Amino acid sequence: MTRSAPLLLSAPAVALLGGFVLAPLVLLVRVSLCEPAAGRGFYTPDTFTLQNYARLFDPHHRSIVAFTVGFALAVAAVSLLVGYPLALFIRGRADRWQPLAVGLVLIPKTAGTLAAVFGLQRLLPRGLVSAALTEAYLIVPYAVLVLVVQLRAIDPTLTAAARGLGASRWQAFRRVTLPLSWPGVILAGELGLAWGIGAMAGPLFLGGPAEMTLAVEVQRQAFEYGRWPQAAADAVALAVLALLALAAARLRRSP
Amino acid sequence: MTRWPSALGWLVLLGLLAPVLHTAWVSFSPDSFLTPPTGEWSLRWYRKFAEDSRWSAAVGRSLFVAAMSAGVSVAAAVPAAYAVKRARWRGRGVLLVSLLLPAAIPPAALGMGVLPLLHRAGLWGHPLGLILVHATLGLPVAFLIVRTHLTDRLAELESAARGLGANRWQVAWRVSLPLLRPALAAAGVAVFVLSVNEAFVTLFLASPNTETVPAVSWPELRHSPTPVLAVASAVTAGLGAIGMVIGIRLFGRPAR
Amino acid sequence: MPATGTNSPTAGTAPSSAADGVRLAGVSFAYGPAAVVRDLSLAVPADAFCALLGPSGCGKTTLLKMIAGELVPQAGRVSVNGRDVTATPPEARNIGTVYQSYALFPHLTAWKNVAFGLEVRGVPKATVAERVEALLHRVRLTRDEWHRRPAQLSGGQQQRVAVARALAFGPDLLLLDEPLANLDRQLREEMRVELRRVHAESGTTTILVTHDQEEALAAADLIGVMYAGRLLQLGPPREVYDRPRTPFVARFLGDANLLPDGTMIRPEAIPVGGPRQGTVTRVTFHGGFQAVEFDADGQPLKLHTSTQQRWTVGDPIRFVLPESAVWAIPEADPTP
Repeated sequence: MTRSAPLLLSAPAVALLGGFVLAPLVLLVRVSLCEPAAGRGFYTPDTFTLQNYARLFDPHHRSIVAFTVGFALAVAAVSLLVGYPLALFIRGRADRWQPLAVGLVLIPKTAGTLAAVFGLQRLLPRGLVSAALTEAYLIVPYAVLVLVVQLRAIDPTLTAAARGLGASRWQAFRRVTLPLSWPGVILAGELGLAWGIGAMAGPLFLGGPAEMTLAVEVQRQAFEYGRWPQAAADAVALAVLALLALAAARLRRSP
Repeated sequence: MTRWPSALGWLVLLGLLAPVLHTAWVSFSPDSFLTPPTGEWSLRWYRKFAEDSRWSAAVGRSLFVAAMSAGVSVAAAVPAAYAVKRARWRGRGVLLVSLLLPAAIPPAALGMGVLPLLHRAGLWGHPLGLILVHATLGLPVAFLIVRTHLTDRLAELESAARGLGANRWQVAWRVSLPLLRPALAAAGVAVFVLSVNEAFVTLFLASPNTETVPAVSWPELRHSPTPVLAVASAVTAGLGAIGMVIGIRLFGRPAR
Repeated sequence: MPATGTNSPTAGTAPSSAADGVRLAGVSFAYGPAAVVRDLSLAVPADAFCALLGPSGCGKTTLLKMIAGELVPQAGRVSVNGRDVTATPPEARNIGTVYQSYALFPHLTAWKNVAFGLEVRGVPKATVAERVEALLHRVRLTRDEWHRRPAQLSGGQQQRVAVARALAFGPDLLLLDEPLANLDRQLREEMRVELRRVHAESGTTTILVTHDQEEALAAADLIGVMYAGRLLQLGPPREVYDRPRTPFVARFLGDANLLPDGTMIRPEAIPVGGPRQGTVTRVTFHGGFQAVEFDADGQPLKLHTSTQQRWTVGDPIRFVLPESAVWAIPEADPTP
C-alpha cells in the first residue's frame, strides 16, 4: 500500500465523522458558552459566558448528575447479572442451537426499541425499578453478544482439563472460565455504563417525575424551555461522563 | 441434572420476548384501551394507521432514509476498514477510536450538537441531514462487521490475484467485493435496522419533513399513547424485516 | 563467517545467457529490527527447477515474496530474464505463484480460476477457453471437475488447479511455496513427479520453496540451502549432498557424522567390517535399512546398513571410515 492509500481509503468515513461527530461536538461546546436567547432564536450568538456550566453545580443539576451516575451503575450491573448467565447458557448449547439462541436475544433489538418500550410500559408499573429494568433490557442483547464472543474464544478443553485435575464445576468456572472471560465482562460493563449514562427511554417512558437523567434534562431544556445553551452545557457534561465511563475502565486495565 | 437449567435458559430467552410480543398483541385491540384484545381481534388500528397520511409519509421516509444511510455507511466503512486492518500508518489508532465514537456518545448529546449544526448548514428539515447522521451512527457497526471479514485468507487471495496480473480495480471487482458480499449485506442490514429504529438523535432533528416512524411515535408514546402506536412498532419491526430480506436476497448469498 | 551468503553462489551448469533466469543481488529484508533476509544473492538459470530449502523461519518465504513482488526488498535488486523488477508491482511481473494454501478463489470454478490471469490481461475469450482447457488437460483434471468450485475438489485436485492457474498466462517464472505441504504422503510423491513433468513440458523457470529435504532432492535439479536469512550453498543435489559447504548444510540435507576435525561422512558411506572397533549404543529400524549408532573411542557415529544382520545395544561393531567418503567441510556456519 502506498503512503497516501490509507488517507484516501479513510476519507469518506473521516468526512462523515468530522461532519457529524466532531463538528457537532465543537459546535455543542460553542453553544454551551453562549448566553441564552433574548427574544428570537435559540441562543445569542457571539456571546461568551460560563454561567451554563456554573449552573451544572446547582442543587437541581447536582442531583440529576448523581442520579444519572447511580442509575447507570445499576443498569450496567443488572445487564451484566442477566447477560452473563445467559451468555454462559448460550455458550453451553450445541453448535447448531447457538445461532437460534443468539437470534432470540437479538429479536427485541431488531424488532425495535419502540415495540420493546411500548410493551414494557404496558407490563410494568412506572417507577425507578421499571426505568432501570427497561434500560437494562435494551442493553442486555449487546452485553450477551460481547460475552458470547468472549466465551466462545475460550478453549472448551480448558474446563475439561480443570475438571480432570479434580476441580468441581464451580471451581472450574471460578478459576478458569471467569478469569478468561473477564475482558468481555469489562467491555460489556463499560458499554452498559456508557449507555446507561445516556439513558433516555427508560426514565422518560417508565420513570416517574423523580427519575430525571441528564439525557432527559438535555431534551427538556432544549424543547420544553427552549434554552439551547443550557441544553448544550448539559449535553457536554453528558458526553464527558459517558467517555469517562469508557476511559476509566480502560485505564484500570492497562497497568 | 443438566435438563433443568437448559429448559430454564430457553424459558428466560423466550421470556425476554414478552414485551415485544405483548406490543404485537395490543396492536390487534378492537378498542382504544391499551390492553390486549380479550375477545375478538381487530385490524381497526392498522386501518387507522394506513389511512393517516402522517404515518404513511413517515413509513416512506423511514424506508428511504434507512436505505440511503445504509448505502452511505457501508460505502464509507469498507475502505476505512481496509485502512485500519491492512495498512500500518500513524493515524490508524485515531481512526479506529473515531470509528467507534458514534456508538459511545450519548444520543442526546450528539442530537443536541447536530441540531444547531444542521440549522447553520441549512440542512435542518431536509432528509439529507438525517441520512448523513444515520450513516454516521451506523459507522461503528458497519465497520466492525466488515473488519471481521477482512481476514488473512482474503488478503492472501487478493495478493494472489495481483500476482496473476490483476490491477487494484480488478482485484476489488473480481475478488474482494464478491467475497465480501455477505459482509456488505450484514453491515447494510445492520445500519438499515438501526436507522429504522433510531429515535433519540432523530427526535432532535425532527421537523415535519424529516419525521420517520420513530420520530412520530415517541412523542405520542409519551403524551397520548393509543394502540396505533403498537401498530407503528409492528410496522417498524416489519420494515426492519423487509430490509433484512432484501439485503440478504440481493447480496447475502455467500460466495462459497 | 557470514561471507558465504554474499559471494553469489552460482549454479554449476552455466546459464544459457547471463541475463536469463532469476537474479537476486544483495537482497535484504527486515521486519522492524528482525532481519529476515540478509544481503542475499542468487542466480537461477533459465529453465532450471531450483529448490530453496531451509528450516522454518530461515527467510525462504520472505525471499519468495520479494521475487513475486508482494514485498519490496529494503536493499538489493531483483531481476527476471534480464528485466529489473525490484520496484515493479506484482501484477506487472508476469510471475506465477502456487501458494501453500493454493489461494484458489472460492467463488470461482476451477475453470474460472485458471482463466483469471488471462481475463485480467484482456485476452480474447476464444483464446482464454483454448488455453484454459489445454492446461486443465495437462494437469489431468477431468471435464466434470472443470466447473466445480474449489470446496468441491480434493486437496490434490485443488493443487493441480493452482498449478494450472499459475501457468495459464505463460509466466516468465513459476514460484512454488511449499505446494505439497498440505497433501498426504502418497499424494505428495505423486505430485512431486507431476510437478517435474509439468516443468519439463512447460519449460518455465521454477523456484520451489520447501523445508522438506526429500522433496527438494527428488524434484529439483538445483538446490539452495538457506539458514538465518542467508543462502549457504547452491548447486546440483548430488554436489550439495556430497560436498556440503558448511556443517549446517551437511546436517540439514540428510544424516551426517560431523567429526571433530571439521570433516563429515554420511552414515551410508561407512561400511561394516574393518580395522576400527566401537560399541553399539542404539539401533533404529527404518524398514529398508537400519541405523546403527555406536561409540568409537568416545566419538559417537552412525551408520546405515542392511537389515539382514541384527545388532543389539552393547554389541561390538567393526567399521572403517573410507578416505574417499570423508569430506572436509570448507566453511563454518554463519552466526544467526
